[in-house]
Amino acid sequence: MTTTDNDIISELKNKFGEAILMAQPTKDEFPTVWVDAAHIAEVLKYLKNEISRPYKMLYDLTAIDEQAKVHKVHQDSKFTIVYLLLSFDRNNFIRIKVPLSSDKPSVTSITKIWPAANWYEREVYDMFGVNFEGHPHLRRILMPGTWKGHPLQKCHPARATEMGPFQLPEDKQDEEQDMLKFKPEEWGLSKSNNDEEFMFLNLGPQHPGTHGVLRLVLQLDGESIVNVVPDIGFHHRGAEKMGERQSWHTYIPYTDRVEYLGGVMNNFPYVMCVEKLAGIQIPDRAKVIRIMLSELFRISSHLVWYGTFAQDLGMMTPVFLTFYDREKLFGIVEAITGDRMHPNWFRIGGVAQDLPNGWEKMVKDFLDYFPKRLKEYDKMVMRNNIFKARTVGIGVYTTEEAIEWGVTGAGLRATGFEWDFRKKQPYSGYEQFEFDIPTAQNGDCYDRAVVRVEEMRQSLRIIKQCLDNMPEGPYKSDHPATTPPIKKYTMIHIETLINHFLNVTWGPVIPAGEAFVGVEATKGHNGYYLTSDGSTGSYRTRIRTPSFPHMQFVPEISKGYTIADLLAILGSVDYVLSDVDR
Amino acid sequence: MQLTQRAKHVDRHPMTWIERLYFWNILKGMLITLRHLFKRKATINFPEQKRSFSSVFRGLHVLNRDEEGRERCTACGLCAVACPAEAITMEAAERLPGEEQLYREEKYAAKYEINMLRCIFCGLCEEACPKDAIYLSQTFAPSNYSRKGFIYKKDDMLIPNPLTEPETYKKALGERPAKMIGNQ
Ligand code: SF4
Ligand code: SF4
Repeated sequence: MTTTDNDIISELKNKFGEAILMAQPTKDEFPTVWVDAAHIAEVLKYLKNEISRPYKMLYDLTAIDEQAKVHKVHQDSKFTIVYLLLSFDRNNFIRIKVPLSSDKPSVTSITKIWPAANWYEREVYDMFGVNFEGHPHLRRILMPGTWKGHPLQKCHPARATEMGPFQLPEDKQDEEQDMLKFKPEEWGLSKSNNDEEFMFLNLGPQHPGTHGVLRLVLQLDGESIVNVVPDIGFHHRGAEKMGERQSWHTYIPYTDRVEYLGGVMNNFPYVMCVEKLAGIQIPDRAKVIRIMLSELFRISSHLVWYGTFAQDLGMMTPVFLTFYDREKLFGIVEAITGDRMHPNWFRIGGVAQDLPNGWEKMVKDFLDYFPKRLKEYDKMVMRNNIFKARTVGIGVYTTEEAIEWGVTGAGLRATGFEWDFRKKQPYSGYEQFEFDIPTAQNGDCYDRAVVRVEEMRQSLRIIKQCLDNMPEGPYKSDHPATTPPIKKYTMIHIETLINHFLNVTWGPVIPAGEAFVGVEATKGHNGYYLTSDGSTGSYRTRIRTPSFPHMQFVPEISKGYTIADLLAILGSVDYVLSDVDR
Repeated sequence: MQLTQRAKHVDRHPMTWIERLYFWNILKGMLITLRHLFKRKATINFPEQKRSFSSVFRGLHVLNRDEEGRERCTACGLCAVACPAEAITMEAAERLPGEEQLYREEKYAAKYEINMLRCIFCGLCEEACPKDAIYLSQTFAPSNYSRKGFIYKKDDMLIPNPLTEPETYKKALGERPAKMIGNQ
């Protein structure tokens, strides 16, 4: 732990005395303190509002079921609530843990301190059965309302085959449907104001403008939006639960599918987190390969956003053109990784294979080709009158609001706040690259769009530097936990073969500990918080995705606009439902 | 290298009056569309035409033979445990005297099945195999009428014998040797 970490911990100890139970060293070196449940609200309020250089953002809120754990840190805790706060002034995180030792765990809700805690607390309630006192709408958020049990508890089965065959008799179907019926009273929404009745409209779950299975219930006064209630969870696949079932190595393909437009951008934080836990150093070549692939995927993801955003606003052509360019990118990705959208290509300790012969030419061709296209899109989309009319001044928010609600990525930079984790907390060698952070001023739909367009240009710069300076050397580390070990070394004699067998069957054993690693992904800051119990699989896999808080923020920025504006707002937020629901 | 730690303000300059004209915008869009009519088509006529795949493409599996036409697989089961989707099942058998021409090792896979509906084509089986006995080829899953049809048996995946059918063997192998060398 560094001195500043100790400072903040001793400051908290001085201020709150007994309420601070202990400090815990972690592999990510974030200051981590355990706080007594009775005082959590005070401590968080202090960290947010009173301390100098405050922790303004509630970055993540989750829980851990400790009941099956061997290497416990707090002996009596059955469920631990974990708050992760981010301070922009300090450029650092702080992790606050609250032990709950009762069988009916309950803790004070912090929705009064951070409104963004609302969905996070609902998720913890849904997944772990923890009650939050004082929460305005404590109900399930990802699982269907009729679900029995809380999936992330250790006693909940992880496989469908453990739960008996699925059946949907008529009465159950009725019950499910009844559960989905929207009852405005339950959400505290009134059915009418003084002179008019409101209309409640379902947008989705099947609607082209929602870009996936998302249901938004709109409270409408004529055409203008009074309130929006998002209903998420239709895309929930239990990615976090699967993380506890798979080995460290065989979970990598699952990460691909969390934010399916980002490809390797999902492997990235996961493998870096495992590497941090295991203490693996990555060879330079692997680092640069990882960066190059990630930036290719950033462009690819932004192209999907670009085309579909324009289409949301009534332009048919751009989407065909951007998808054509994306296809070119997929050509490169396929040549390197062997697949297109789900490359599954980063490995613990490096990447799966070396770059193929001729990769330079493919990348160079793309670098020559793409800027022209970007210019054409600028003319066609960004400088189009109708496009501007529909995006400028729509869905505006300020930097303070963005931070309050946990917004990261282009949505934050569009408000004029220069914050990019590639620059501020560089990982994998980003500090050695030259690129700018595009920022805009107004935080409206248009600004979010220009920021993303400029980001594509910056990504091209980074890729160019990768191309010019690709280091020689191995593409995988020779650390024993590298999975699978380099094949050259494996089939020499019986010893190395046994090593290969162990490594491929159970995979590496990762020492007990916990770490969080995040990357500046395509949609915002995406991070994995892994807890190892000293075994061949993760004890708890928490995936902090950017789209989740962004979706929670949508109602706040849509009130007062019309339905057509809402579609512009949704498009400009750039989320993926698989990233919201995991 | 000089690093720029600066933020870049994106371009927000107002539009010129020409750009603000409504019909000009419509016309401009039309012109762009029109121009693309004369460009090379981006699509191909599948299934008459097929696109080429990269040599490392992860398509349907092939069970490999060695130069003498013997099956390489020794039914060690590594592919099955490495498979995240649990798509592979196999039954091992012992090679009998006289079968040396058929199987390379003393133990072989009597039954080997992959459920292509479960498979996510991640390629971890190929990475796990210590015998170069399985690899993913440059084809992708065809359609089928029944779920059963997607459970590929050993015969569906075994590569043709290089001694008896050299032509088809070559074709099935594709550009794979290059990839395997790259993999080592
Ligand atoms: S294909 Fe390879 S890994 Fe699988 S059983 Fe055969 S030899 Fe073992
Ligand atoms: S490609 Fe992946 S999912 Fe398919 S059989 Fe091989 S290991 Fe299993």
